[in-house]
Amino acid sequence: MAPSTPPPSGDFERLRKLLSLMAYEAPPPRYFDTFSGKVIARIQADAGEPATAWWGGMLSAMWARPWAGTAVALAFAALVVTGLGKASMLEPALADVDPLLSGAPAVVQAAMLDRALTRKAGETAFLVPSQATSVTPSFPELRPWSPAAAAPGSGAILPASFTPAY
Amino acid sequence: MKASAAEAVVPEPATVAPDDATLVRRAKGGDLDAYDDLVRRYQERIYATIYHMTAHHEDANDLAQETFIRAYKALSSFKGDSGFFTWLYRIAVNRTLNYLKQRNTRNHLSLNDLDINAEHDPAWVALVSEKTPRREASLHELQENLNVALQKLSEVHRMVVTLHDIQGLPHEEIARIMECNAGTVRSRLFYARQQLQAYLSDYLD
Repeated sequence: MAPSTPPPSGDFERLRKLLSLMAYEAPPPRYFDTFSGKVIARIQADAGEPATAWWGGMLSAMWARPWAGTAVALAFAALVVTGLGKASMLEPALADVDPLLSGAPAVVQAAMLDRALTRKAGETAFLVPSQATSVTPSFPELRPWSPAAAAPGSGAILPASFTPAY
Repeated sequence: MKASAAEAVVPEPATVAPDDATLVRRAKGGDLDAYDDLVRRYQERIYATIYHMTAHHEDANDLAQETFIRAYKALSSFKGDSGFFTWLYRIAVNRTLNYLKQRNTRNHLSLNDLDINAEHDPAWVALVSEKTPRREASLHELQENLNVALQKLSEVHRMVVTLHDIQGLPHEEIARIMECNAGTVRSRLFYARQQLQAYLSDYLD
């Protein structure tokens, strides 16, 4: 169905002439001389900042779409809650070690928790010595230093010494 | 010597400005000089459209710059189904309509000065020579009243009046820009003019 039929244009001729006067409104002199230069400069500036493009784009996208911002905030909140839940599951292990440790400094608690977890792992897993990844280093060619061995002409390096000036 | 005389009278071939499609193709390849030419070609019309929609020079300046920047960034999506001019106008129109929806109601206008030739326009000469209630009105007062009346229209009606009665675009072109049919453009224009006639009755009776 066609929209309502417009009247002959002559009905609005005087109005149209009046409106045509608005075309005389012009921006300040020489405004358009610099307009395109500003546009091109902004395009070049945008192209020269790729590091801010991804997060800048994400922020503007979230401002433009509130639901997207809400979704990101909810996902972040879920991540935090999950992390706190996992952390609370580890707390009983610390309590198993020694209930008295609950008042100990954080560093001591962490060390005791680590030891308890290692012990627990040792109870359930069988460690094959040949698969051990750490060995006790031994250096048979090194002997304790003694003044007799460091006699002049022996080639041994003497430790540095000095005599105080006073 | 005859040859040199003949060479002297041969007119130099006129430099033909490249068409939009050529400039767009070059701009897509990263040629900013080509895009600069496109901006210069359409800056006045884009600015004027946004200015008459907002009645605010600073807003029009920002939105016009933004329109060209957005268009450059979206050039890769321009397939050439419509003319570059139509596509560019569509970006300007959509951006301006979105801006006006977000902008709080503001009565403050920031109008440009009138060109000195306005005083010699037949419409103005006829107005001041007739015995209308506003016969003594100044041109600047008329300018302000025209803008106030235009701002009273809804955004889509104002856009149609701006594009047709001020910019002089045909109905079909406006329909392509606003992505509606030409009949809708005509009916919107009719309604908008009726309202404007009522608002500007002092100048028209």
